[in-house]
Amino acid sequence: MNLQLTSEQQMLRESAARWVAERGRPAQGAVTVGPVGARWREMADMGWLAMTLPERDGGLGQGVAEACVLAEALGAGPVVEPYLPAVVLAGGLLAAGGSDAQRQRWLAALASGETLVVPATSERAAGHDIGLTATRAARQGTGWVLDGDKTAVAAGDIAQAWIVAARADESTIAFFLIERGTAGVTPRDFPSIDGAGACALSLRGVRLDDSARLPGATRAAFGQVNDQALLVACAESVGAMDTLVKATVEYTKQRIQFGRPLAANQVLRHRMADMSIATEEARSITLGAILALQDAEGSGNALARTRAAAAARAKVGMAARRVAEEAVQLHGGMGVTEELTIGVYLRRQMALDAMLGPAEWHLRRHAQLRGARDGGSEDRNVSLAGT
Amino acid sequence: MYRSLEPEDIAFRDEVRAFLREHLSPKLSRATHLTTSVFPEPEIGHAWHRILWQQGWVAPGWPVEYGGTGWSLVQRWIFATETARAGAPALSPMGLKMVGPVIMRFGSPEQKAHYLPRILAGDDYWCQGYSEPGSGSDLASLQTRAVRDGEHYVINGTKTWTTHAHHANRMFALVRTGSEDTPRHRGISFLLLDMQSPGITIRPIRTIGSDHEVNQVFFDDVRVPVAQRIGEEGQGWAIAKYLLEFERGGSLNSGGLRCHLEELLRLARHTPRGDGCMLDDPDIALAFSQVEIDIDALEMTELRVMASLQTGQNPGAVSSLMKLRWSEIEQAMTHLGVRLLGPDALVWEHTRPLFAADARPVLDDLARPVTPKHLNARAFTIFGGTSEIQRDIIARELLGTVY
Ligand SMILES: Cc1cc2nc3c(=O)[nH]c(=O)nc-3n(C[C@H](O)[C@H](O)[C@H](O)COP(=O)(O)OP(=O)(O)OC[C@H]3O[C@@H](n4cnc5c(N)ncnc54)[C@H](O)[C@@H]3O)c2cc1C
Repeated sequence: MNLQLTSEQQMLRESAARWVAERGRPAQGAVTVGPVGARWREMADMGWLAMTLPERDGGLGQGVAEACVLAEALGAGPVVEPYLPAVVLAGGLLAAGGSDAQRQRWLAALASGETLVVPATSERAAGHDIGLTATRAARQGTGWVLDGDKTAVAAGDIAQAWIVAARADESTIAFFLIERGTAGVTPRDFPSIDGAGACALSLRGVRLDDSARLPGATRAAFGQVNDQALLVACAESVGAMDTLVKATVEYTKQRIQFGRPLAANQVLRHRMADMSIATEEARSITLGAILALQDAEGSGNALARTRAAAAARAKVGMAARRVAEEAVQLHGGMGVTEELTIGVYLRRQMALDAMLGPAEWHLRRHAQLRGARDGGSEDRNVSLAGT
Repeated sequence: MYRSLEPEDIAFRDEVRAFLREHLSPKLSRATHLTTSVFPEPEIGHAWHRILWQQGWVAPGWPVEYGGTGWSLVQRWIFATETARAGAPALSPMGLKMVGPVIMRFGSPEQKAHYLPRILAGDDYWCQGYSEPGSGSDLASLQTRAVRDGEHYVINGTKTWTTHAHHANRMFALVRTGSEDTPRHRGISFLLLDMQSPGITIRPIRTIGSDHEVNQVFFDDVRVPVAQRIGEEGQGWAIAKYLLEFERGGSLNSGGLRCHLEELLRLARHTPRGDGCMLDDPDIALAFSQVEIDIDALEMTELRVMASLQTGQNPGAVSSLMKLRWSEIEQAMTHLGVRLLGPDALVWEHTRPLFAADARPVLDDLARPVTPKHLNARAFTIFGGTSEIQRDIIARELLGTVY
C-alpha cells in the first residue's frame, strides 16, 4: 500500500495551487462572473479539461485520483468555473456512453475549452434522484419527443448543449444531448449561489433524432460518473476547508479583543481544533473513496463503489458546511460581509450540495445500500438510492 | 398551574384576530414573508408600526404611563403570538425596545417628553451606534471620541455594523468622554444624535446573502448638544449593559419561530417528491420534529421568564439563554429550508428587497426567501452579543469567578 501522490500528481497539485493562488480569485459578492472566459481557457491550456477524458477522444486518460488532486486545488479559490458539471459529469457521460459521432463532435471541443456541455438531470419532484425522473421521452418513428422540466442546471446558462435525462419507459432512463436552439427547449437563466450562473430548462414537444441519445449512457453508466463527481466535489470541499481553517487561524491570531488575540480563548482554540479534525477526516474519507473507486474499476463492484462515494459525500458535505459556518462565526461581523471571502466558500459549498444532493441525502443512500447485493435481486434498493 | 385561557383572554384573542384580519393586508404579510432579515425594510416595518400606533398597540412592553397597553402577561403573549403567526412585520427594535426603555429609565423629564411620544408614533427611526471596527465583543474598548466644547460635544471616529443607519434619522451612540486616564468603563457616555448632522457619512456594507442592512458610519467633527446626553457623563457603560439585556431577551420570539416553522411546513408539503411531497420523507419529518420540540421548549421558557417579571423590568442573564436558543433554532430551520429546496438552492436572487415589484423571480414565493434567509441568519449568532459571549455570561452566572 502506498498513499503518497505520484510525482506526476504532485506536480499537478503544485501547478494547480499556483494557478489558483494567482488567477483563481473568488467571485466577489453579488457580482456574477461569466465563468467561461479567460480563466476557463487557461484551465484548458493547462491540460486540465482534457486530463480525465479518454486518450482515444483526445484526452490524457487520467483517472478520478487526478481529478481530485486538481479539484482540491480549485476548492481553495474557490474556482467556480464549471469543471465539475462540464468535464467530470458531461465529459464523463459522453466518454462512457456517447456514440462515436457524439464523442468526436463534443469531447475534443470540451477539452480545448471551445465548447461547453453540462448535464440537466435534476427535477423539482425528483430532487437529485435520477430514478424519479419524470421528464418523458416518447418514441416517435425512429426518433423521440421529450417533455418535462429540468431545474438547477449548473452552467446551463452558457452551455452550447445539455445532456438531459428522460424516462424512456417504466424502467429505463435515457440521456439525450440537446443543443441550444433546438425547437421546444426554453432555458431560463439565473445567477447561481456561488456567483456563477445556471438555468432551468423547459422541454415541450422537443423532437430529437435517435442520434441525440447517448447509446451507452445507462443508469449504471450514470451511476459510475456520478460517483466520480461526488468525489471530485469532496476533494473540492477539502480544499475549501483547508483554506477556511488557515484563514480562521490567521484571523483569530491577529484580531485583538479584551486585550488579547481571539485565539487566546480556549473555547475558540477548541473550535478551530474541531474544524481541523473535520478537515483531516474529510481528507481521509475522500482518499478512501478514491481507492474504492479504483478497486471497483477492477472488480466491477458497483455497489461498493457507490456506497463509498455516498459515504464520502455525506461526511464531507456535512463537515464542509460546518467548517464554513464556523469560519463565519469565528470571524464575527467580518465573516458575514462581502469584504472577506469567507462567505464565498460557504456559498460554494451550498452550490455543491445543490448540484449533487445534500449531504443528508447521501447519508440516507448509504443507509439504504447497506445489505444490498450488487446486481442482485435487491436492485430496488439501489434504485431507491438514486443511482 | 394551568394554561387554558380565561374567557376574557379568548375575547382579547378574538379582538386581536379581527384587528389583524382588517389591518394586516396580504401585501404586507407577503412582504414580511419575503423579508430576508430580522430587520424589515421601513416601507413595511414602519407602515405596520403606524397601524399599530393608531390602534394604541405599538408598545405592549412599555409601562402605561409612557403609552404602553397595560396588558397582562397572557395578553402580551397572545398579541405577540397572534401577530407573528399572522405574518405581521416585525417592528424595528431600536426605538421601541432599545433606546425607549433607556430614556424611560435614565432620561431627563425633557428627554422623556420629547422622545418617547416620537418613538411611539414612529416619528423617529433609530439606529444603534455601539460597535466599532476594533470593538465588537469587547465593546468597552470603543474609541469614538466626544470632546467637550462649551455646550456641545465634538465627535470623531467611526461606528460599524450600524443596522439601518441608511434609513435612520437618529442614532444612540456610545462614545468615549473624559481624559486619557479615565478608567475605560467610566469614560463612556451615551449620546443621542441627529443623523443629518454635518460631518456624518455612511458607507454601506453588503453581507453574504446580498442584503444591505448594516453600514459603517464616520464622524468628522460632528457637533452634538450636551443636552442630548442620557444620564451623567461617564454613565454610558452602565446604561449600555442595561440595554443589552433588553436587546437580548426582552421579547417573545417563539411566535416568530413558529411562523417560520409553518412557512417551512408549507414549503415541504408544496414540494413534490415522486408521487408525494417532501414531508412524506421520514428523514424530513424527523428534522421538523426536532425543531418543533425546540420551539416548544423555548416558548415555555419565555413564558416562565415573562411570568416572573413585571412590565418594564429587566430580565437579566436569562436573556442570554433566550437569545442563544432563538438564534440557534432559527439557524436549524434555515438549514432545513435549504435541504427542502434541494437542487433549487442553486438559485441566487440577489436583488433586494425580494418583494420589489420589478423582481423577476425564478422560484415561487414559498421557496424564494429560503436561501437568502439562510445566509442572513448566519449573523443571528453574531449580532446582539455573539453566542460565545452569551455562553460566557451564562457560565459566569453559573460558576462565578473560579480563578
Ligand atoms: C447583521 C449585524 C447587525 C448588527 N447590528 C448592529 C447595530 O445595529 N449596532 C451595533 O452597534 N452593532 C451591531 N452589530 C455588531 C455586533 O454587535 C458585533 O458584530 C458583535 O458584537 C461581535 O463583534 P465582532 O463582529 O467585532 O466580532 P469579534 O468580537 O471580533 O468576535 C469574533 C469571534 O470571536 C469570538 N470571541 C470574541 N471574544 C471572545 C471571548 N472573550 N471568548 C470567546 N470568544 C470570543 C466571538 O464570539 C466571535 O465568534 C451587528 C452585527 C451584525 C453581523
